[in-house]
Amino acid sequence: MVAGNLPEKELINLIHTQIPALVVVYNIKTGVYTYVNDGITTLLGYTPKDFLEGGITFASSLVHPDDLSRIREQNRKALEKANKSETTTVIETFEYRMRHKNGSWRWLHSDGTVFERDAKGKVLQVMNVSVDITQRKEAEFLAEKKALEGEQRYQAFVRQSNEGIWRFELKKPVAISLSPAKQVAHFFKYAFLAECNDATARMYGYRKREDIEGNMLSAFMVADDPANIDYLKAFIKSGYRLSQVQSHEKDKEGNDKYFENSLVGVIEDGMLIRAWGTQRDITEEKRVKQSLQIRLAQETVVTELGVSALSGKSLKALFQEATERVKEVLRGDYISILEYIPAEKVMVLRAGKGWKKEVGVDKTIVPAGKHSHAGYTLGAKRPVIIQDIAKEKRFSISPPLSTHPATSGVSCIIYGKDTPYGVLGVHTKDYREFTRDDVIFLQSVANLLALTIERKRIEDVLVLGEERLRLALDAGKIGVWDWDMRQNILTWSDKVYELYGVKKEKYPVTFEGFNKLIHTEDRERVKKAIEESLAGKAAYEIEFRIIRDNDKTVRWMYTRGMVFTKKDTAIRMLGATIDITKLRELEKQKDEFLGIASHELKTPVTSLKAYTQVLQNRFAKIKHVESATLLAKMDNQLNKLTSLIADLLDVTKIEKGRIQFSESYFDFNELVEEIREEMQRTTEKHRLTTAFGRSKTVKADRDRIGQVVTNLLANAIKYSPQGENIIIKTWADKDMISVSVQDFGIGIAADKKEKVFERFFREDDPKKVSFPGLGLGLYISSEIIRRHDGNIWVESQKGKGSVFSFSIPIEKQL
Amino acid sequence: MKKILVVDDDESILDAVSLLLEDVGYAVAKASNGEKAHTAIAACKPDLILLDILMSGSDGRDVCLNLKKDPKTKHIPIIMVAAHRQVGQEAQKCGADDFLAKPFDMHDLLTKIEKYLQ
Repeated sequence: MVAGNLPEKELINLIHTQIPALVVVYNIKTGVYTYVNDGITTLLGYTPKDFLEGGITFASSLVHPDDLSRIREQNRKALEKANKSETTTVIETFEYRMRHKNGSWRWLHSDGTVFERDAKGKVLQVMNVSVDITQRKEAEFLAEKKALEGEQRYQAFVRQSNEGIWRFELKKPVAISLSPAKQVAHFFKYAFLAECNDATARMYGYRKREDIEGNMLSAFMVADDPANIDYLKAFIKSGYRLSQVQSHEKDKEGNDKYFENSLVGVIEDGMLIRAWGTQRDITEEKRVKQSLQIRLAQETVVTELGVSALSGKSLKALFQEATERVKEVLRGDYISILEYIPAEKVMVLRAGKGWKKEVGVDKTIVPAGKHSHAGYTLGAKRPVIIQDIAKEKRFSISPPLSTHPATSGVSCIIYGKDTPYGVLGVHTKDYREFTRDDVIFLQSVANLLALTIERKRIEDVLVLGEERLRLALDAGKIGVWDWDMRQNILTWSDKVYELYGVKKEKYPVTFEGFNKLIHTEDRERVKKAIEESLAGKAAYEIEFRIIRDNDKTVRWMYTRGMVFTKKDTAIRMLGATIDITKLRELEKQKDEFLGIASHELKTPVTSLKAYTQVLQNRFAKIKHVESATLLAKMDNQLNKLTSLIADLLDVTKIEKGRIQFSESYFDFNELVEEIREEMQRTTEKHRLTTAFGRSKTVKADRDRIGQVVTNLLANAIKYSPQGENIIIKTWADKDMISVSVQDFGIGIAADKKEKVFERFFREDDPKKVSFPGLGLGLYISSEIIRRHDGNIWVESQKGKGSVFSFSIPIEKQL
Repeated sequence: MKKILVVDDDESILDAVSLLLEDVGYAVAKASNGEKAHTAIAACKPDLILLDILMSGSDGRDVCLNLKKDPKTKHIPIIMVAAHRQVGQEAQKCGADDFLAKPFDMHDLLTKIEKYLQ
């Protein structure tokens, strides 16, 4: 049973409207009412709220003091009995008095039923259905005082009572010594209704007692119902005195009726001659109770199927389970789950129960549209009930239903995201009137299937996506790692283990476990890169060496990662790693090739330059000025060729982050002055003047820093074609030493200032005079300065000239 | 007349540099590898050596180290010449007196030579 599943008020109120009954559900452990219907007002004048708030304590205070201890004892025994056997549902019947709010005493008849049991099978909640039997009790009371009060008054009362009161006579008395079976047979043959009140007649659908008085017992009672035979036998065995036993009878229309009877037999000379009795109509109460029980069973099934659906069962298994449970709960003979295939306008059986052998899952096809119950259901967009297949006019019946002896059925749509998934159907061999509850149940199961199908579909897409990603990663030789920084757990994909040559069980990976694998020379660099990325300064991207755990070979890895933060704290890093050893080797070969190539290029240029200069000198000596000038121009072009060769080599190295620096200590101003002298020789139009501050010693690559100064001066010369002063300043502060080169040339537009340090950027003269060069100089310069932890920047005004500056750290005196 | 020994495995460089130096009034001897350089030094006793670092067959650095080790030759100034940027460091390592990066400017070459032959 599912806890907390209280029956719908509407259903219980049904009992109350049919017969004025008080229905309560209470928890025997807590003494709290979990349900009280409006019957309380009719019976006792209180509101349900009074009871819900007051609990059993309040209710007990209303019980007549003479009855209280009796019913408490009766209740205790009944619970004891019910706790012993889980199959016991009816606990006990109680008759007792309670005080109405108006002060009067009312006799109540209550039936206690087990409503819910706890996990250990012990009774947890009890449902009580109570009716007012004050009138009957008073009648009984009066009957006892019949002699005093007089027969007439008694008769009058009996006639007015709501309970059925009757007297059966035997046309031929029966010996009580006969076997109970023979006596029962005798009853059916000779017992007739000698007298009853109108209430009795009404219970059978008649108006007046005269309408049924004189009828034989067999006209009321279903003779072959074992329950009735048991009832009559019990009457005999009890010594012809029995209270509150059920009988199963038929009314005028032949409808089933259930009564609760109390009767007493009159025996004379060992022969039973008549029986007096009262009866109460419990048909509706029984029906409602039954439907409550069915409903509870149905809800249980839906809940259990829901659990199965979430348990990760395959759809096929879930379908199978659903058909089984539906068959069981709705007592269906043929259950089907059909999937709708829109493209082919058919439905395919995906799960079934009860069908003949030729009907096969994933094989049997049912036409859609008006050629099948299922197809019609899809079109109707609501559950469709068939009362009798033989009389069905809305649609035709196709196989497999038409080849089975089915009579009634109901179909519900299994909804899908855009189009319905299909139809869940139940059919029975016998005629069946499916109730509203049955349909609700079937639709609940169908909805559950729909949700599960949709969830599985999404899961499949995700799994497929994950699988694809995994395949892609495998194929691409990419290892993926995930570092939970709060717990310091490093999760590696299988590929990472493979890349690092680590056996999967060897490391419960932490950062330290990973660090051990890193080449000792690279550990500090990796640590720094991680710290910088955590500080949000840069993306984590680094090439480092690891010593493979299995073969101890050195492998180059390239890894990239990103940081996830929560409330400004880094909590996780996620990244990918690839082995770039081979790439590294190839690049090394390429660098070597480029080195050789540049060397080889420089050799002929060297001799060309020497020849040119020899010739230039010789022409100068003989005063052949024109030729000497031409050769000077040629020499100038050779210088450009030289710098282009060098630039190309540098760019290739920068791109790969492999520009090598050889650091040495040198005097900064001295270097700048050296370059100035060199550059002054290349121009006659410009005057390179200096304004040096105090010099400092720096630890840097002298050639590379010199290259930057050269580049700035060359640019200043190049972009001030009119020829002007070029001012070189140096200055130092606590940490840095700086140099600036100011020209008075074409300048740079404000919006392009940031771009000058980009690759292949070139500033053009407004008059479209283009300036030669690859546009790599400042890009290389900025890289060199950046790698020296320095800054490079420009201030400029279009048409007025530019000031390019850079600063690098001063070597700290330790 | 001061004598300069030019050591380079490239014929055109030997030729061009010789012309250049001769034009400005130096006597020039040529050697295309380390071995020939030693022979030439013994034969002509140069006042200065221009030594290329990367030569096929012999390494200019070894030649330099040997010359600087030998008491008979260690006084001769050596200017190392190479086509790569690290020439300065390499020159220092093997005890050369000065260096020049290829391709060099005549003006620079002559300035350096004059510095040692005054």
